Amino acid sequence: MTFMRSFSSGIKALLHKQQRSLDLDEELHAFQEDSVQEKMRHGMTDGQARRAARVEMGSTETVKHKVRASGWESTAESIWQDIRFSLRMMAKSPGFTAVAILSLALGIGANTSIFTLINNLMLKSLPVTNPQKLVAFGKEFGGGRIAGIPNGPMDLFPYDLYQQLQQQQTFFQGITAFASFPTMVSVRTNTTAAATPSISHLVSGNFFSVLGAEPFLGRALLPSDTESPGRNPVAVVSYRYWQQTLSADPSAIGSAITINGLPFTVVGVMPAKFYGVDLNQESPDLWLPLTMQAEVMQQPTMLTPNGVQWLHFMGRRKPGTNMKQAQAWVTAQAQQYLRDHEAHPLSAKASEQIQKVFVELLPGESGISNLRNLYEQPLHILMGVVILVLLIACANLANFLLARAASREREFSTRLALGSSRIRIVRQILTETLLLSFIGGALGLLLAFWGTRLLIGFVTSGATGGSTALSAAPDLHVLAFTFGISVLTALLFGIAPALRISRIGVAPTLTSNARTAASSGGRSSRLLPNILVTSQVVLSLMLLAVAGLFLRTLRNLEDQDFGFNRTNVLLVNFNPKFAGYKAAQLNGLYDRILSRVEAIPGVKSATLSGAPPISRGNWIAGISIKGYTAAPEEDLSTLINRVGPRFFETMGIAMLQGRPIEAQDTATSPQVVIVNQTLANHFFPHGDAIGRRFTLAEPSVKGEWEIAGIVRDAKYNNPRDVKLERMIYLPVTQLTDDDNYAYFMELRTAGDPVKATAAVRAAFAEIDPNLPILQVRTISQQVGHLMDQDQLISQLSIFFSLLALSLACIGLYGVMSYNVARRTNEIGIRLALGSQPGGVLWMIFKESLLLLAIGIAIGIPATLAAGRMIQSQLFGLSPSDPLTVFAAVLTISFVTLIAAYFPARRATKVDPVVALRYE
Amino acid sequence: MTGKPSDLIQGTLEMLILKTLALEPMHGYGVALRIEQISNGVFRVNPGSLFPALSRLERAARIKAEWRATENNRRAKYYLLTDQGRKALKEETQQWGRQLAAITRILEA
Repeated sequence: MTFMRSFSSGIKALLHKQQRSLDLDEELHAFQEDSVQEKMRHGMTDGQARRAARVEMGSTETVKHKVRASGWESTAESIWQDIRFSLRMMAKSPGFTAVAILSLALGIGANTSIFTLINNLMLKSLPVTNPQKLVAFGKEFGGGRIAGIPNGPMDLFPYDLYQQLQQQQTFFQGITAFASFPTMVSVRTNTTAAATPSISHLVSGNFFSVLGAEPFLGRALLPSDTESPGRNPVAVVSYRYWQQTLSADPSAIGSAITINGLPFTVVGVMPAKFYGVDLNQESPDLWLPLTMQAEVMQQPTMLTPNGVQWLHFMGRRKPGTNMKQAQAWVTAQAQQYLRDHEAHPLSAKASEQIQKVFVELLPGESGISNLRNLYEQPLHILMGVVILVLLIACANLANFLLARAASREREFSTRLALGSSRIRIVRQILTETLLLSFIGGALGLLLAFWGTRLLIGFVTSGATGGSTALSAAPDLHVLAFTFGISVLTALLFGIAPALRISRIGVAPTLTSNARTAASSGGRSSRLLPNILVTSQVVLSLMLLAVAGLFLRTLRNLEDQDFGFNRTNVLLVNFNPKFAGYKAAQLNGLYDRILSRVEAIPGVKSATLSGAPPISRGNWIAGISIKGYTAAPEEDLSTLINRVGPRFFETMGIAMLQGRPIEAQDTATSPQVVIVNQTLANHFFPHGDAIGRRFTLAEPSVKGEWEIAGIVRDAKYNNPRDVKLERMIYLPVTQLTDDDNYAYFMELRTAGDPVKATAAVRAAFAEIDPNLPILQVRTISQQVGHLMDQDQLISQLSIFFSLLALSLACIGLYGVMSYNVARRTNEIGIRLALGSQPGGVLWMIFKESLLLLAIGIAIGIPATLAAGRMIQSQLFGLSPSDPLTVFAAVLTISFVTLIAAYFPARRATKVDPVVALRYE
Repeated sequence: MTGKPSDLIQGTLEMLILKTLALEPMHGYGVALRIEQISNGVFRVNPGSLFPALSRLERAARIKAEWRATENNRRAKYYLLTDQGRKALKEETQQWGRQLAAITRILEA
């Protein structure tokens, strides 16, 4: 109320400034007249009375100023004056202003950009009601594992454990289960002629109610939708899917769409902001009942008791739930479940292993994200990197402003002498820095938007064309962050110059030889700039070394021997299930595809596989070898891939012994298997592997397999793996049912494999127009995607360290130039007294060298410490890699010397006569 | 009391202005003169403090200003006490009384 009145009268005062001033003049004049009259009544003469009255009043302007200063609007007005003055000052030195704003924009932009991504991946909550009440059961990457006892933390669960928890739980308002991975399905709608691949997510009926997500149209899934397997072909679609594929038609509710050849009814549309629980490269288009798993995945059911552990759980806790108790209860339930499903009597080993199993209840507020797990560490490191960049930019600006403050000392002294208050001058300096910072921040926000889009593009580049829930648009968190960091930046670089100004004396700076005085008393006044330059050297050195370490890590990862030949191989992802092929038809289809594709000019060989030669997530099973006695607790598991003929030839994997899988290995011929070196060496150290037989602990893979050949080891999932893994290759044509399906085709080409893409698509269309190609990429792209985080972190840290280096270089150059300019007088005298130009050059130069030396001396230990912090992200080199540190030192030295050389050379060109007249 | 007029005690000027205006609306010089007269010349209010104080009071809505004709037919800005001003004066007078009593007690102790 009072505030409002004060505000409105302030505004009025500002609007009617002139009228106010006239009124006040009149009032003061009247006062003076009255005073004169009164004094004359007391016997003064007219002249005496007037003089006395004037003395009493003092300057009318001062009185008016005091009156005006009694309201807030005068402060506002003077701030506005400060801003206008600052803008004028900025316009007067456009070069400085441009460099300052640009470096701030880059620094703040980089920070905002990385923060936006962190905000997206780690800080944002799911767009549901009360997300803070959600609890995730563990945090595993998507995947599945066959029944058995997990090693320690349990985060993937079987379906019947869900049913068991559902019936007995008391700690949660509800527990929901959902597939830990998305499923690609082929969808045909009334409006689309051809089937299109879409991303679906299998969820339990209470998924939406537990999450607290309301549908936009129609209804969400209900618990009744997942009561019995295969009975409820209903679908809830995403807003985007409804818009793009169902033409945003409200009558789509209740209409039928065909998923993998089966009719499903669309029952609901989710709102636009809803993306499910997994913040990943792509968000699902469809949510389907968990009980439709067999139909949706076109695989045998995974809902059987003691089945595959493939589900994630999330719960919504009841108010006042003790999470420790809940966690203990869930863990006990999981252990009991495992105990019940082990062979009885329970072996001591199994019992001990079960005791170690636990379920960790984690905040589920931001859902479950594979992407988050992958990028969490790289993003934190990058955040550290961009903060260092911003610090360097701050040091730069602080230095520039100090130099400018020094050159404006006369201006400030004059203002002080004319009666301006110190506070006012300091406020004006801070206004200038804040203004720079805010303009830089605003520009940085724009840069960040653009940069974040690039980053998101990079992070989601493995996607197959779906939409991502990641957004480059700044939300309130991001805006607050940018605002905060701008203010902080302004304080960081503005405080030193402001303090310096506040200590200026009036007298000395106004005397005629002020410049000489300033330059001779320079050592202490140059201390702060020198400290700033040194810290820039230290920070740049750290950044350069970190970037170097990441660059070499990426090189090491890329240049390592993967065990197969990465050049000229095309990887084609297709799915015969989408075109309705049954297992019995597959071998014929494979023959047609391979012979047709191998006829394409430029294709040297083609083959098939169940999984790419290298990918995250592999098929794993135990084997038992005839005539081999396993040691107690020996690990008998191996990776498995199923491949077509000519696989090793196409992939360039060398045969060491025996023969590869060939076209004559058919469904009816004896079952053969190719093993890798590691497996052969482990089980057959005497080199007698060929001809030996084993069975697989995988119910679907029946019979004995005879080892027909041994191939070289290769990398199978993570390029960072250093441990050699066992691998077996089964002929895809000799497998049955679901294992008979191949989803990838590999082609070795004579030239650029990408050029074969069109011909391959044409070949597929010719064989069966309904057989969709889901994705085509080269093997080097596939390998590259497995190193996405490494690429991101190394490319960005190189970019940022170069940015930092150029900022530091500009800063050093600026400070040295300024020092030379200040000492022009002194240098002139030295030259006039007979100093040689070489001596002057050295005098200036050695100052920079000293700063560089101190910087390196501090920088090397700092670099080693930084290296240790990022150790876990490095590959194939030590965090104190001498070559990298040496290269970083060399770079920073080179750049420093270049930046210092030009000002020093300018010093030698000083003409003594001109210099002495310089004042 | 003789000698030079003394400065007003910090913060009391606004109370004195309110008190002066409580008797009748007045223009700036009238206020200054009245304070000087009633205090027998002990307090002399100069324009440099009077007008900012008037402006502050006006801002706080304790007084309001009107242009009126003076006795010698000139235009002058008259200040009037508002209800709020009256209330504020009462409160401040009471508080002043309490403070004065306390100070006196301390000095006489």
